[in-house]
Amino acid sequence: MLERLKTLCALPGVSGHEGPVRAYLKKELAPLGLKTVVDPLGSLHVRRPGPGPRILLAAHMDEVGMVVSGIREDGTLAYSGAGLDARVLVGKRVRIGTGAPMAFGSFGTSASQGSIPGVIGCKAIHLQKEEEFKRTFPHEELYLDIGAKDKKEAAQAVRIGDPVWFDVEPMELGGLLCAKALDDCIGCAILLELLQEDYGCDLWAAFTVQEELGLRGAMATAHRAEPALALVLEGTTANDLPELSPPKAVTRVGGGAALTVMDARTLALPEMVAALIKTAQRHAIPYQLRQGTKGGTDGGAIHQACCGCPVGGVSVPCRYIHSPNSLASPADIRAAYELARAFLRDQMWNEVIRHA
Amino acid sequence: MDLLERIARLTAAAGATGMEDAVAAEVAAQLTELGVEVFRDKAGSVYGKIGEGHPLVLLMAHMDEVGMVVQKVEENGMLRLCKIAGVDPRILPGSRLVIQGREGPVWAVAGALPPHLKKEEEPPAYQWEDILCDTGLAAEEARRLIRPGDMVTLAPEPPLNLLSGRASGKTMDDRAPLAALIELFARLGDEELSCTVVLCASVQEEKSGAGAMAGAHNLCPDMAIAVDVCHAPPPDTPFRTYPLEEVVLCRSASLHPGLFTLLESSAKAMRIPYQVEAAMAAKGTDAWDMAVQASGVATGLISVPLRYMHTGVEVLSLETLANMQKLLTGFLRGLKTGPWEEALCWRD
Repeated sequence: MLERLKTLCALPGVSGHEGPVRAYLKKELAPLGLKTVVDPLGSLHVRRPGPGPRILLAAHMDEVGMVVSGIREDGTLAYSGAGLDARVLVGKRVRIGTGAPMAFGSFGTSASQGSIPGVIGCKAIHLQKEEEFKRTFPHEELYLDIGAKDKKEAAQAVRIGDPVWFDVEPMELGGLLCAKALDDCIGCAILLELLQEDYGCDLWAAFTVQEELGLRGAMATAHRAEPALALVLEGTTANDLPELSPPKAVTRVGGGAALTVMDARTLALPEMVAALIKTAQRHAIPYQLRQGTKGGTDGGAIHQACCGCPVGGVSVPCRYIHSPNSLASPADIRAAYELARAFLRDQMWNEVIRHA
Repeated sequence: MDLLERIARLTAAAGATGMEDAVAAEVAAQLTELGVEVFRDKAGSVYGKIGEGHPLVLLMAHMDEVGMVVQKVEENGMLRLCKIAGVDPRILPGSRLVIQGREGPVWAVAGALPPHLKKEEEPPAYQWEDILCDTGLAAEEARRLIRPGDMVTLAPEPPLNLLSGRASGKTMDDRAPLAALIELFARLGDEELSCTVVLCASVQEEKSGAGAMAGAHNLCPDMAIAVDVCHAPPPDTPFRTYPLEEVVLCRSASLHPGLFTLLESSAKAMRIPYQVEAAMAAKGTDAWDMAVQASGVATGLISVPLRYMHTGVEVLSLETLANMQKLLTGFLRGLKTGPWEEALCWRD
């Protein structure tokens, strides 16, 4: 699962350009012989039919990123981003897709095929005035530098609308995994693993698109799947820094699978939270309650669909989420997987689904 | 080994100001491979020498980089950092760093207090106190491997090839010009020179100029040339910047006009595109300190324009870098027959 996760994190999967991630998932799913469907938005659906109720498992394929929004006279590129804090951009390497189809020979090191490198710089500190030191460079003042001498050269190398992602290879860091796109390659890797088994329910797995643009893939997914219950697998905020005490930390890396009680878009059914806690306790799986009330996941869209659907959120804490280098603990990833698996194997949906 | 490979090898070594040993070892290795005699002075700078007799020309490029040290290991094992020279804390969040720990390099990520805790129109700029260095290690392990004072630098990555023969990477300032000087030694090879050329990879340029002072003082060269980077214009910064495509020759009250003329003549003779930078006082490079050592040294300054100085994505033109090396080659060959002493005399 960890190896697959590393491969996934190395792939480009900017919202709306999830193709490389989808292609990899399809390839990994092929040996299972399950029926897969790609919906009009690009979400990948996989079913493992069974006698029980329809259970939806969702993870999103997209990562925060940018698209080229303009080519300037001097050959630099303007961009448009979603979900990115301008303060993590300066001094970073990126890759920019040419719009050509991504070729897939080997994964991991050749995620760069069909793309060119670029960097995000800013005015050297020597050239900045004193008042400039105190401010952040906003997105409008930043740009991508691909080395092009002028607009003409740049226009031969990129097209407006090409996706832009951070150029970082995953690495291990003091026992943690360090990579871009842990949100939500973690969910995708766990979901791939969960699909290996049969749980006696009508299992519907969805690898969704455009979560970072506002849970858009999940809206269509919920409508298509009409689930009786859904579990959303996510990477979530961990602010466990020295000056932040537990509630502000939201979750703690190494503290186990994080269960959603409430976020900006959902309020979990008490039965759902209770069932997840009971499962974790029964199997001695480390867990923590997610103590933030902000942020949202695909669950925000799913719980409102189809006359209401109970949704559980099982997440993995990620430090520096939405930055080029986020950190997560393999033990937490394992715990989130174990918890979702035990929930399904124990058919805990029976304790959550309310029968009219 | 081509120029980019030399740069890659030099930038792979961590060498914050005052802690340049790893870079010194790499410089020495590259010079030794060329069969050049290598020595090191008490300040820590590395020297290589070719040729015989006068003039004695000192070519200096600095090997230190702007860096940081560990200031404190927090309760939970995360590190607080303190800059040694010229690092902007705003470029750190989301970057990989390397700490030279007790048992070797430890990789880390720079983090910061997340932005969403306060709702503000424009998020405030990150200050040093917001920055955390996260090794992922358990607290006890972090404390065992890392102590306050340990060197911290941006993590090395091989330079990137961009369009138009431009390259990007960390520490192009000043390892790229240093690589060009080593390449110059490789090209001159066994050529008979009627001058002595000493290459100095100097220490502490970013902070004190101690390497430049010691170098010029020890060698008493007939002429000294600092080889460095200067600012290329990023969009919207019109002043004090020079386009990436041309070598920059500096004219200044603090530099020798005769040496400027010699360098300019070489550029013209070799048809190398160049531009002239003028400064009343050309501070901020080794040239400033070398000129006033010993009984005074005729000093020049030649630079390669660079974008995004002191970040991990410094951009320069490899062609300009090669042109700078050619210009210096022509200059040194010209000294064979040229009336160099005449050129350096003050004509009043």
